[in-house]
Amino acid sequence: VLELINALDRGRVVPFDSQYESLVRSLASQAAVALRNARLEDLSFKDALTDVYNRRYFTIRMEEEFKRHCRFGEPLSLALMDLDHFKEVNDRFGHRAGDEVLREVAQLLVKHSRSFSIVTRYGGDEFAIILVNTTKAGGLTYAERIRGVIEQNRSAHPVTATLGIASLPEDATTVDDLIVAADRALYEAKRLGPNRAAAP
Amino acid sequence: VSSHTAADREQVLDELLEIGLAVASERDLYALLDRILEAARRFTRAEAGTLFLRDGDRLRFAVVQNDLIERKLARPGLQQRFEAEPLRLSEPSLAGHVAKTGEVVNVADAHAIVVHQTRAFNERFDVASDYATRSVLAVPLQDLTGGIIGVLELLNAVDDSGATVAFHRDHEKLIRALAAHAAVAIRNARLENISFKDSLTELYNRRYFGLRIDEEVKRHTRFGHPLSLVVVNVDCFKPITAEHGQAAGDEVLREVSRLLLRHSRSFTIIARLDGDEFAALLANTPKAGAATYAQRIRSVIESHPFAHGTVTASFGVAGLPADAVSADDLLAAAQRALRDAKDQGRNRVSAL
Repeated sequence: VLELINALDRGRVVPFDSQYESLVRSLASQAAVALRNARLEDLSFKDALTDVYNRRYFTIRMEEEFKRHCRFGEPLSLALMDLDHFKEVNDRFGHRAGDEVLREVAQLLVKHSRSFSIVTRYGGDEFAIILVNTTKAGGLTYAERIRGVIEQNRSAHPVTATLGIASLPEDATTVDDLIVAADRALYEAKRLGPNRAAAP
Repeated sequence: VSSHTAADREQVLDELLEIGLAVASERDLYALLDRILEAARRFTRAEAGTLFLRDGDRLRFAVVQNDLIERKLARPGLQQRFEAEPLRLSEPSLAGHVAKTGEVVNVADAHAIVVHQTRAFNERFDVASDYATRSVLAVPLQDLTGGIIGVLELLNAVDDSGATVAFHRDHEKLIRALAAHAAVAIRNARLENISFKDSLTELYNRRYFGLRIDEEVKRHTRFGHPLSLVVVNVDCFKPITAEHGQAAGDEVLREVSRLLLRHSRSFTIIARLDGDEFAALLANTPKAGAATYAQRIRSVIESHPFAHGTVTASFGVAGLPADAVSADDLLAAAQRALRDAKDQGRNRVSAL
């Protein structure tokens, strides 16, 4: 509801002129459009740049898969991936080139993951892939394959990637701990030198 | 064209207000864009107009209106002819120049433009459609970040005597306002496309359900766990809205959604498929378990105190591997079962 009160004419309150009704109605409808747009953006699960799922969806889906794991006992692995020296691509060739690299990497991830793996952009140059019904060994094999695919990719701006894997049930008992474990594995891999995959 | 009487201004304002309302209510993007272009042409008395949408390195002819050519060629034929051949941004054209620079182009004679690297008139379409462009007014469609998503181009303003004249400078602002409306409408449509939630009930929408059922069927195929689907339809929903109004109907749908969420497991995927039809996708659940779930929901809805009395629903249950091998078959099987439940007298669960 858009409500206007006390129309003024040289300081005196006067009735609203009925000819303004359609104008106010139109302004209200434009406010409605703006509100609806803001809500639609909130409801989106896709990352606008790369077209893979966004972080909001990662959080929702991780929770759902965790509960499924608890109920049905299937293994669950999480891969966190970070591009190596991505900042240099941005610095040397500009953000447009950086964006293009992110799009390319996202496409490679989708192409080389199983159709039921959940590929998400976690933030910046970081991607998170939820590997359903996948053991730690399977997760590591996947991570190694993705690392190789990105390394071999012929691109205008070649990049490499480092991946950290953590799995349920062995590495954590909660979603948050699983993410922390994968992040720690990623950090450890980076420390040993980029372009590698590691698990705790 | 340049006569600006008070009556003219009022008419222009009215039309702008109407279009503002239409942007909020019209669901069909192309119908809306068509209307916007038509209004732009009426104000400027342009014989022809095109609304281009940017698609990577090309401009797609989204809406094409041309009175002269339409007399020879029906509208669908005209549209198809242009749609087949998008305008490349790499070839010089006035619309392309607007798309690349964001500048407004207003020229009295397109052929008189001194050839410039990007801002040149492209004769290809005049030749293809046997049309003679003279005056051109082209404005950009801009998104929130200033990115250019399209171009609104008007051709050949006509005066009272029928002669082609230049577009009046005063019209630029008005056409920009119309272009802004078109940009908002396009953004709306694109946002709907990336949304996965139903805005009325906040359940997942049909698009997400489609993606997810495919994913779950593949998971079933790979790992062999059972997968079940329950489709739910509110009984006699139309009479509820007819009797108590649209708002009451919406509230029933929201209430049913809340009940579905509250009485399902957190990993059950609940979506609104359409109108008063919902779906629950139950992972790792055999058909018998899904039927039990459906019975429970049925009785929860039946005994829930809705604002204006009792509401019931019918349920169709189907499962993999028993009833289908693909996602489409699974949905079709569940919908067959739902029809069966309706035929048996509603407020019941049916599994074929």
